Amino acid sequence: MDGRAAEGLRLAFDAGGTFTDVVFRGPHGTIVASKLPSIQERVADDVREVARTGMAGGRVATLLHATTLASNAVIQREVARTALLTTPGFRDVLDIKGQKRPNVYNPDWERLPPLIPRALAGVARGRMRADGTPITELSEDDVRELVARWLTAGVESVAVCFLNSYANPAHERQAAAVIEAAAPGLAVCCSHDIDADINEYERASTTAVNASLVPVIERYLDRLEAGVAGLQARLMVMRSNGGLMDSRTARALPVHMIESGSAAGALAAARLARERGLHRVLALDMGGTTAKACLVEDGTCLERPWGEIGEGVTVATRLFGGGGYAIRVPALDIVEIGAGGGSIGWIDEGGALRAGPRSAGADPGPACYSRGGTEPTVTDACVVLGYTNPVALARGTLPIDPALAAAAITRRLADPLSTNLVEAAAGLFAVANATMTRALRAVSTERGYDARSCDLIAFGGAGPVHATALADSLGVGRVHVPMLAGVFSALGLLLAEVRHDVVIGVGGRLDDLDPKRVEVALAGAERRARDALRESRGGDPPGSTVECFAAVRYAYQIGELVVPLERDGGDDLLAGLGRRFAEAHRREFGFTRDDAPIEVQNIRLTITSQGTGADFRSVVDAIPAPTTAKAVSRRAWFGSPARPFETPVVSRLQLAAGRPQPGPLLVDEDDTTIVVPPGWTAACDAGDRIVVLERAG
Amino acid sequence: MSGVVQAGEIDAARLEVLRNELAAITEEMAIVISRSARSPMVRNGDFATGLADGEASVLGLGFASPQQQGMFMTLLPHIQARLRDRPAPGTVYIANDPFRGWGHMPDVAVVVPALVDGELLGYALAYSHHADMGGRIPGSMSSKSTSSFEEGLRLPVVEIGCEGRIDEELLDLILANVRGPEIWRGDFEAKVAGCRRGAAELQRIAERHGMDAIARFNRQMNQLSERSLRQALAALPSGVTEWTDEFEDDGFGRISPGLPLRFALRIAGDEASVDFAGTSPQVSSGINLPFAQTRAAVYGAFKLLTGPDVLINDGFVRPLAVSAPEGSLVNPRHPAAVGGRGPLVGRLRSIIQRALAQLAPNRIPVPGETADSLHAVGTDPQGRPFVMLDGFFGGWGGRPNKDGIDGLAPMEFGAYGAAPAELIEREYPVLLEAFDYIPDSAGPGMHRGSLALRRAWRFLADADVMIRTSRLTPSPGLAGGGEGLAHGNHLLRAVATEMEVLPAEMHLHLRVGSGDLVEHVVGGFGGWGDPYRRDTAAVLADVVDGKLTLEAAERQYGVVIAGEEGSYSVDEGGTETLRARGRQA
Repeated sequence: MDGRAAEGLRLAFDAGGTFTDVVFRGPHGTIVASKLPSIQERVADDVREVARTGMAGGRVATLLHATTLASNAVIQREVARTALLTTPGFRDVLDIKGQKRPNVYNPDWERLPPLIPRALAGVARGRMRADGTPITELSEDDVRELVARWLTAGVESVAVCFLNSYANPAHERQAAAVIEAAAPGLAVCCSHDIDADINEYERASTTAVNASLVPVIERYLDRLEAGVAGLQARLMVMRSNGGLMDSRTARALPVHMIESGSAAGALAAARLARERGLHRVLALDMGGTTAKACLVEDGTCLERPWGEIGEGVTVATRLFGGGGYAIRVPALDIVEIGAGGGSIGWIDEGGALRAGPRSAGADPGPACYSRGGTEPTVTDACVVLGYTNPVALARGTLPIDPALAAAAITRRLADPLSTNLVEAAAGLFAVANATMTRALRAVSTERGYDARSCDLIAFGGAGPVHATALADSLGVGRVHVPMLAGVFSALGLLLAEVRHDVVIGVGGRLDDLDPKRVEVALAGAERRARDALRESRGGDPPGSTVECFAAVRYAYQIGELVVPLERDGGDDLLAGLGRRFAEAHRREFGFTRDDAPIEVQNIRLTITSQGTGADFRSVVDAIPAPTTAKAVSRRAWFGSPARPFETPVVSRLQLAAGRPQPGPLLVDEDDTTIVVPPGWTAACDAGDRIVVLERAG
Repeated sequence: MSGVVQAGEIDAARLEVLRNELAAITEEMAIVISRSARSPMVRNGDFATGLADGEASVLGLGFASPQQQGMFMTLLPHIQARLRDRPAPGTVYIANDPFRGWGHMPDVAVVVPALVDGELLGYALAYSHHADMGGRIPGSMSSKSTSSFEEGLRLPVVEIGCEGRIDEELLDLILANVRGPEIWRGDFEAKVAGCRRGAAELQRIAERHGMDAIARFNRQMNQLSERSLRQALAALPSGVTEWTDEFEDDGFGRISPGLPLRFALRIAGDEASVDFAGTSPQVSSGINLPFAQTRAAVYGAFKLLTGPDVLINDGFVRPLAVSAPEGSLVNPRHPAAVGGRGPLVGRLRSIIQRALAQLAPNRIPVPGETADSLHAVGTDPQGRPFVMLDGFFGGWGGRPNKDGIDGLAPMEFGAYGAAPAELIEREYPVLLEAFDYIPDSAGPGMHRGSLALRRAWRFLADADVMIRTSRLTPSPGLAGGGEGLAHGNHLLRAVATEMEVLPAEMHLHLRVGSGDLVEHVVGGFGGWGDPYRRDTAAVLADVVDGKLTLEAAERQYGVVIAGEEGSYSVDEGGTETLRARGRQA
């Protein structure tokens, strides 16, 4: 057997806001999936219980954990009481946020208050130049005085960010030593350790987010690990870059957990794309309150060098920021927007039909849930249009009342618009799709990738319902829907590998770089990365891959493009970099500047373990057959204007057994429905049981 | 209002789908430009993108503030007039002419028509502020210019590219006339790339939704905007508001009395007009305001009367007439210099907003005003010449429903930002020694205005410096709110021990030496509503945050704070007494 056996069994648990999905492969090779309510205090007990009953004596060697805890703590500002230590004149750096705002015009806008209140932001004298030479020494007295005040104020954690510390961290190190001596209990995070790059706001903000999370994540992981101690399993946590880290690293660098919950789904889509040999894929994960999009190229998710947390994501936020708290750590480029099945439809003052951003959430939920919701949601529209199973959702646990859906849409939308129920529902469905299209465009066309050249992988409870409509508006011709679409993210976790990044600051002209020195630096980085990998896993992995990337721009340009750096060439190390940068620049922006100097901001070395995760196909093989759909057909509405079709309803297995079937067709599953409109055909691969939808013509 | 779909109209859902898709195009254009451009101005957000239909009527949505949309609106007729026949595919126009529908010359617009099978579908537009446009003074935007001919290269609507190729000869001609040609070229190419992307995406919209979809969408949005503004105007009391104000700097320094700024704001039923008769004649300095910007400022101010989703377009301005005597400060004749018009456009917008506040007190916020900046030109210690343009902002004044915002570009400006200190220090021989708030400096009010900020530069080389200050008098409040701390400039010479106060001028020129420190204060903006009606908890929060001293809490708000740092609380009894006494006084 391969390295997996020595690993023992892997159990993945993906803790979202509402549900925790647990997925593992039992001792008999069968995939077991369960959905439990997310209750923080009980997660450890639940996981232990699932492992005990499901593993039937098998030993769990590794627990794989994805969680929205870190991002929720920041969004709700339920973080530790944290102080900021910075350079005189920059006390307000976290509030001013580079004077950015995420919108061009919104007279009603309010800026988020800083994560660290002004009262806890202090300055210590001492100054570095941009080239790292000290101008004045650090005043240790200033630091000690502040620490005394912070202790009285109940501070638990300190973020240290001095101007130009990216060039010389000496003052930050010195301040940290002073703080640790004066107050051994305080958590201290220095900016050069968290994000050693230029621009004070982004670095200070990343450090502040990290520092304010350290005590929160420490407490959480302490309790979690104590709770599952009996399993004697190693706990690994999903990080924003789609790799795993050990729990000790997670305690020190919780800012890398911000996208923990979203990354697992994107990763699952990437693995699926790789195994199916898909060149470019748009991954869409749509649930009840949000939709997340990510672009996968040749089996790898695109990444982004920075992002924000704290306010609804908008496209302009991606441009300038200012809407939330800046976070500058490598992360998968996932765009999340507030559009899901629970998004509420309404009519604005201009008479246009809108969807969201307000959501009915899980409680009361869509009107059709019979929990007292009266506002029409996208899910209600899907019920009216006949797309969604009209009897029950969520593995039969959630009964549906179509009459309530119809009543809400009639009263709130159809009547005020003087139109009929079906047209109003079709309108709401179309408008919700337009919003989601924005997210999909943000990760594709905005980055210079033609969406028409992509396949779409749709998952989440609502993804398969909307996938073909989104594909039509983007010009995408093929859609893939995996098994267990509702817990697909947890499946992704099961497949994840350990990953470490080492970033080497460069900040110079490409022409001035000495390939030999770069190679020496990379060799050192690789040693450190391998050590970290070994330590995380408690031993050498069966294999590993090392990749290098450079963040490159034309001199004076604002943003860098991340370009692969091929290392096998020795002296040619940097030769291909300029060419690949030009190619990437032409793709994203449509032009190149052959005579302009090229600058390298940094080089990143990434190491990823291999062979610890299962492959997708073997996982899917192990999924038990879903229950067969009961209905034979139902009436569903397609087209514009919408027309009724008596539409066959089949199960995935029925589809797999037969020939490709033309739409209209509905594939009912335990936790979603795959909608196949007229003009599309559906087939199911007998091997990996992926449903593939293709547009005719 | 009725949502009934009229014949020929687009239904409510399709309208929203198109709105999303068209807005996404302008944002994509903005992303291409901001990420591929090369100057700090673009990095900081001094640019906008827009779209127009085939009739050169602006769509009004997307990545531009209402005021920036207004600029596109005034330019578009000149673009359309330039089209002798149908444009060839891949045509690129460039324009910056203050006397042909545009503002000052460093703001350079690029326009690319979108065609399908030879039929004109619409236009993609973008502008950005270039670091230089040639002329006598680096930066091409000094108030000290006395004629347009000193301000650099004027580009009426010029075809600079066709069939997908840029006219390199013409571009060379421009580059031979500007400082920093490499960066100029980089910004220009970024705009062309952005507009080409926009034009290509417009074609895809036509493929998906039909050739007439954009025109139909725009017709409907124009009707909607017109109806919305008419409704808002009808809700105001009819009559004439005569406004008299003065502008305290004639471009050469502070004057008293200032240049007269007068207008009559007339509301008649559901229509309005703003007439600037009585405003100062044009002046011989560079502060004159091109009429295009006068109109855009008026449109932007009136936008506050409608909901946030209402678009600025031709329909919006149909019920709104703007007039100004030719040859006046706000409608100058060629060859007036206009490069230093920045503070005036902010002031004009501000006073129109204040006049509207008299008619609709619960809708209009206290305006923040324009950008302040510092330009420095010199040679660094390594002997390399440098040109630094450092722009930054004050904040938002108090609003009828909430506080202003500290340290943020005015709402009409767009998504600007300030450059990071570390970037400035890496690029220029300067230490940025402060960028932080000044306590007690916000205009007090039930909803307070923004705090003043200070920004300080320690020069590590000799330099010629110009500091632009947008107002020399404090920003007043509205509805009983108080004024903010005034703007100001200070200098600490390397050899001196005391900071000196620099003369009050909107465009102050001085020579600094290595080791000198220049400090600029961007003033606080006014508060909205009676400060004595401010929530005491909000006053306490500002005290806890060190934004307000105990003394100022009493003086400005009549709020008595008890306790010490770490345990402050509101002394309710003391506050009641103090506020009662203050009200009697």
